[in-house]
Amino acid sequence: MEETNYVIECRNLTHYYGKKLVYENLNIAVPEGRIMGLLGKNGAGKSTTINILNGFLEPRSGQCLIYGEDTQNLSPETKRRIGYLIEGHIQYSFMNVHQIEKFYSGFYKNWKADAYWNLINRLKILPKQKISTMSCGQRAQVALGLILAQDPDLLILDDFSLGLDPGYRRLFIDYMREYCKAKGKTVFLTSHIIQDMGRLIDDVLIMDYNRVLVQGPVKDFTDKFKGFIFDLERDDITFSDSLAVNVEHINNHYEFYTYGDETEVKKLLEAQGLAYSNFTQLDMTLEDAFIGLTGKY
Amino acid sequence: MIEKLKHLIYKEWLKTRWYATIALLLSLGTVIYIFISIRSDLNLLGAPQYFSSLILEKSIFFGKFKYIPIITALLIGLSQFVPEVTDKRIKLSLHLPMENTTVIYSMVLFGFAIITAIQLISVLLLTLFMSVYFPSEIIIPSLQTILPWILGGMTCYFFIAMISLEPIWKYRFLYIIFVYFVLRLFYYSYGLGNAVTIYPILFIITLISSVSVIYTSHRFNKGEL
Repeated sequence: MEETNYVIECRNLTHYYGKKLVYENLNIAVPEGRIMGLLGKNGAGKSTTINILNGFLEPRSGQCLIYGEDTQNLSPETKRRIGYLIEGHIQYSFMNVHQIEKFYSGFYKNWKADAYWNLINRLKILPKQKISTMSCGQRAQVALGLILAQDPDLLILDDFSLGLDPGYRRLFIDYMREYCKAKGKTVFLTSHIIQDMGRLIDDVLIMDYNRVLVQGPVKDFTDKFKGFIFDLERDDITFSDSLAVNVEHINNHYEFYTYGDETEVKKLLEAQGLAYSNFTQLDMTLEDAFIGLTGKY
Repeated sequence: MIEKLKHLIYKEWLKTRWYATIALLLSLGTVIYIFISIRSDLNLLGAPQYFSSLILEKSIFFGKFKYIPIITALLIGLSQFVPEVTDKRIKLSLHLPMENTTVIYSMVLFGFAIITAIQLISVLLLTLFMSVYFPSEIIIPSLQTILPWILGGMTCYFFIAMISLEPIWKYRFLYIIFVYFVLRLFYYSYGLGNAVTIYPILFIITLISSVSVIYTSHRFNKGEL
């Protein structure tokens, strides 16, 4: 049997901000060549994880390894293999596109200037326009171009979709997927915007406050996790059965999210003596499943 | 490694070049102003009265230069570190394929070199102007008086680097208060040539300030909150 190579391995990560628990005993393993998305609402611990992975935060306990090195003390050689996109596509905004390319090119021996200019030449910008005066989408393209030119083995993208309009987000996702799959790159990304994310990621890790809700291949999750809608006669029904992962309702219209199937849900309703109508299974995207799992609030 | 350092310096230069130019012009302008003032006072008071006031009252004829080193330090330090701190852009620098300490110290040494160069040019010019009118008995105490101001500028610069990398705002404010009182030692009115006795203390403070950035960059990496 072929042994799996893990690019990222986090073991028993526990972190607090003061007395506030972020998460406890979190384990993450990202195999080589896979795209893993850490998804969660704001404040769920996504940026905390990214900071630990990049060595900008020491966890209270536990350890993260990237290419076998403790992330608290990454060597320059390992840092060279990691492309890092900061939340909001932050770059050196006092530079223009030529200056920033010149700056970074000195640090990476396999610098691929063509990859950068292929993206930058599509931008409608002035040759000496500073990055600070560009739109969010344009800045995202500069940041992406720099990462592609760096040609890293691992890409860590922190909330890359933040601030992007739908077109740019789709462009970014499709470009990234194509590039990573063609070149066998490993990606670890976070996002609180789930729309279009199903097009990009292979594996998903969904976090809620203090806990992991799902970890595994996206397809497994979207196949197994289901949503049903139905109407009941009353609007004050609560479900304590473990079959009900999340139930939300507006008046007597209920949304029932579960890992069970239609028969099990109907049996549960009948067992509780609830008459239902308009029972329908939802056709869910990853975004629908995420909201169904984590709740709307 | 040399190639990486060259590119790191390129970034620092892009951030600081205009501020360094302003600092140099300000510094040279002040020195020229002092020179013109000396000429004017000599013409107005006459050489005997002017020299007696310098020697007997130990008056400082180059007082306008006093805060130039600290202004230079503020211009260079803030232009270098504010862009790094804004949006935590320092993460980009620390993610470069170099040791973190090398990155930080390359940045700090670049700023230090710029400040030193500006001060050196200014003091050499001031010394040249002084040598036109004054004997070494006045020039040497004058330079001894200027030295704490220059050390104060350097100390201020090192502390700007330290404060910038501190991850917690509350501590930044505490450091600023502490630094304010420390810097006052460099700008106390010691009188012409009288600061020599306090040199060792001032040198030690400057030396300590030069390594203080290690402490806060370590805190930044730990993500102290």
